[in-house]
Amino acid sequence: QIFINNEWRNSVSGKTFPTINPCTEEKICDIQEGDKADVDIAVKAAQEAFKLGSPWRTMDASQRGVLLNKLADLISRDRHILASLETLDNGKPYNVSYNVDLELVIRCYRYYAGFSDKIHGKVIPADGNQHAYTRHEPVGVCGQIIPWNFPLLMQAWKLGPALSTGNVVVMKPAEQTPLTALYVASLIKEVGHLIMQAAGKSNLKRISLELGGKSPNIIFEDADLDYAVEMAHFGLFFNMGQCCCAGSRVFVQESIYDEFVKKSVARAKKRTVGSPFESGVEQGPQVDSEQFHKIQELIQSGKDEGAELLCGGERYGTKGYYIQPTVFANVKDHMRIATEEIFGPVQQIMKFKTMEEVIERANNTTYGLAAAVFTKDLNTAITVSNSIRAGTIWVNTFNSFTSMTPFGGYKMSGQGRELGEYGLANYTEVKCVIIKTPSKNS
Amino acid sequence: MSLPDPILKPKIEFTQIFINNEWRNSVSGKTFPTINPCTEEKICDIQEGDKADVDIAVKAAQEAFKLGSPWRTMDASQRGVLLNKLADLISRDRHILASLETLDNGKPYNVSYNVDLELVIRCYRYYAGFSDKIHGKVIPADGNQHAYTRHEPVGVCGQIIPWNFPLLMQAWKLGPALSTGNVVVMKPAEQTPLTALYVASLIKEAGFPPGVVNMIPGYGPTAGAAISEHMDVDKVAFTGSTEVGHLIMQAAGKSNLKRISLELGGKSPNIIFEDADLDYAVEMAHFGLFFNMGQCCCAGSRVFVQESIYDEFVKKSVARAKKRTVGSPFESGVEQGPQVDSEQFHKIQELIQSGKDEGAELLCGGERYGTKGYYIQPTVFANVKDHMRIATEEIFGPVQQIMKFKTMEEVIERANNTTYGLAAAVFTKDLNTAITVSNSIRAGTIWVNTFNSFTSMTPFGGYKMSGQGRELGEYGLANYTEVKCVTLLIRDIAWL
Repeated sequence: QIFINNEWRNSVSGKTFPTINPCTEEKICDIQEGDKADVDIAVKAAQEAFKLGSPWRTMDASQRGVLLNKLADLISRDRHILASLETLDNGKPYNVSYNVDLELVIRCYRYYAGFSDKIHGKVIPADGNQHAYTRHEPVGVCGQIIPWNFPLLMQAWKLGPALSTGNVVVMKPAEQTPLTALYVASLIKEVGHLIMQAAGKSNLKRISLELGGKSPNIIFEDADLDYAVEMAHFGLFFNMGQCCCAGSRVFVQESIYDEFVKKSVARAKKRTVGSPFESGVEQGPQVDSEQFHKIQELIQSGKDEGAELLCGGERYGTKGYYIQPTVFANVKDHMRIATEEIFGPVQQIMKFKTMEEVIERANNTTYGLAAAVFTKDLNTAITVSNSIRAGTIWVNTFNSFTSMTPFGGYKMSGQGRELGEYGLANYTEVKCVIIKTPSKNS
Repeated sequence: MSLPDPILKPKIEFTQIFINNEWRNSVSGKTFPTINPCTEEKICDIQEGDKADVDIAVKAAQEAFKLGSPWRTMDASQRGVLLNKLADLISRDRHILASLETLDNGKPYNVSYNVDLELVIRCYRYYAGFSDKIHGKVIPADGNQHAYTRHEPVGVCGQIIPWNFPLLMQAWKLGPALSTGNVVVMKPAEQTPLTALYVASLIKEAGFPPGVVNMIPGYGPTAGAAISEHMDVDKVAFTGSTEVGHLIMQAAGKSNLKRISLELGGKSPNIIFEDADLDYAVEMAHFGLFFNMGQCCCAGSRVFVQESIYDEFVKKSVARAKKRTVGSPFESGVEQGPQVDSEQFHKIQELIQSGKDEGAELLCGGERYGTKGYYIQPTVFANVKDHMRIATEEIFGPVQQIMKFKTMEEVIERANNTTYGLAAAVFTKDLNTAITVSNSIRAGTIWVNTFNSFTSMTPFGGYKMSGQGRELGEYGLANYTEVKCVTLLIRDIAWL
């Protein structure tokens, strides 16, 4: 159901929508369908909770941290339930839900729990006889709209900093994957603190955006080849390719290109596809029918535009949104598979000669979310990471996420940064107080 | 410091578009006039920039921003040296700039010289000092990795500035943008292009590489829209009306999701408690409203006075307003010049009329001043009710509203009852009152026992529909930096 004021309710309209199991293409259950009328009620409830003098506003900042840690405890307690629900709704392998998603979720809530009483303003040596300081106040009612690729984790990246800094939230989980988000709402109620809900409209509200990417993964000839092949494979195929930061343009220096392609194809052929509840499976289904068809359409464009299809390229099996791990080589920069975000298990490998050339080609995109470089050479590592216009640069690794390192896009990959201390800025409004004083000493 | 004489008819050397450190005519060949608000007559014609000129400027800026360019390879400290040189040159030509500012905007010359130019010079020097102190972080990330952030420049920054403090608004924008290594395409206000273009000539003289700063005079719906819709402008910073703020944000969303910062309007409450120093509060409330002909985004345009001192306060405020000297801004001793143009002039009069129509008590002023020039009499309305248009809409003119209140809780609620949130002030001797009120009002700047106190080091910006993002101080850098996180895996180092 819809969760407002710590209570469950049906939608004002009475409508429901189904959430689908991507393994079977069948309905799991019906969910209450929120719309504007429900959003209006939620926003009013959030405003009420944000009023001066309310329990939330008068609570010690450290107590907000206690509540966030309690939430992390409850998620930990129900970890296997949440991991199972996540796999059921999203299709990602259960061991990944349990060991990766849930691990990062718990760490994220704990990280921001620790920050809540460390939201520092500044005292400023302003000109004139005055005492000037800033308060970093909560922004207020925060609308948060999250995607389906890492449902619990994206929820944590949003709730963690927002609640840590004292805001109130109206959240809309993705329609493809509502189950775990609603379960967590019940844990929030169990913790005893907040109102949680859905979307918003235009009053010049502050925006932060985490969008798509076409991230370059650059392999220099001096890289550890086998390691680079494995990391490039992981960097693309993880989570069924459904990562905003997927390394979907693999640039390989020409002297190692043939070997790299051969090993990448062999690795892709070995990737185990199947039911995400079975142990040993690396790749589950794509999340829904819309993604399933979009990916196949882009694979077809790769074939049509003359890229070299070396493995995969077709549906896997006959039921469920499964796609074969696919590798294209000799990809040219102008091809659709090189410019458009596929969000599926389709790897593109291109050749390059020099560092200057690959920097230019890597930057030749409207996206700018992430990038990676594999090399042993210090100058190469520093020069390339300085020169690529992307919010995260991995050197000799990929998809390394921690709660403390900021993540976000350059250019059309988004604006603002999540995680780390930087993540607080999205959720604070700076107030400067200037008090006239009769005199001043430094 | 003695005030040098103003130049009554300054030579207008710079009237063209400035791209790549060169002056050029508009692609269309069109020009537009800039008007003297004292005489309502044209000062001169300015080249009118439009989309085609913006396109050329953006390309020049992109070129200057390329990896390996002089600007990108320059030491950060050298950027600071250039900004300090610019401050030196502005200081050298201070009386010329102050005269041009007064000619184009109408603000009294002594204020242009002593206030605007002073704050401008300090702003450039402040950000000059920051340029080699743009620090990233080293982060104790989980795992065997070395993680750090670089605070890189955003890239091509579109900057659209208003006419109320032309030089100062230009400094607030150029200072942080250049300090952090960005390149700029700026559109000064069509009402007041003269000083912005003069400063462009100083930017060239100071030694900034070509393409780093480009200046396109022109109108909002043409040149301004071209900037905010441009697919290769990485960020747009706008100071102006809330109405146009909406347009800029929509244009950014429709085009390339460029980053936005906005400084918009306000209807800032000035709250006078009964324990305040009364004469001082009257003078500060007067200054807080009437300064700059009322043309301040943060003007204290809702003066809430506690009931026990209300009558006395109103009486003294009216007397003070009647004493305010209105006249030619080039004459010494004049406190108030004309409003900036005919559009503002009429809008203010329309709002004054609404005050009369809706039943506010008009105690002085309320009419045009004189017969030539956009002058308006200092006007005071008392017994203003919160729902009246003069209490809710931004007037941007010399019109003061005074309302009565009883308790602190009541006035906090009434002060917050607005979609704006730019500034506020509270006058009191009581510690708890000062802290409680300043904590409770949703506005970006709270002044306690002062008003319009601006320094380069204290951040300024709006809550709610008064804008987003903060200018000035260290906070001002955030608008112009893009954070890159670099994570290097360290393998085989067991002890790390």
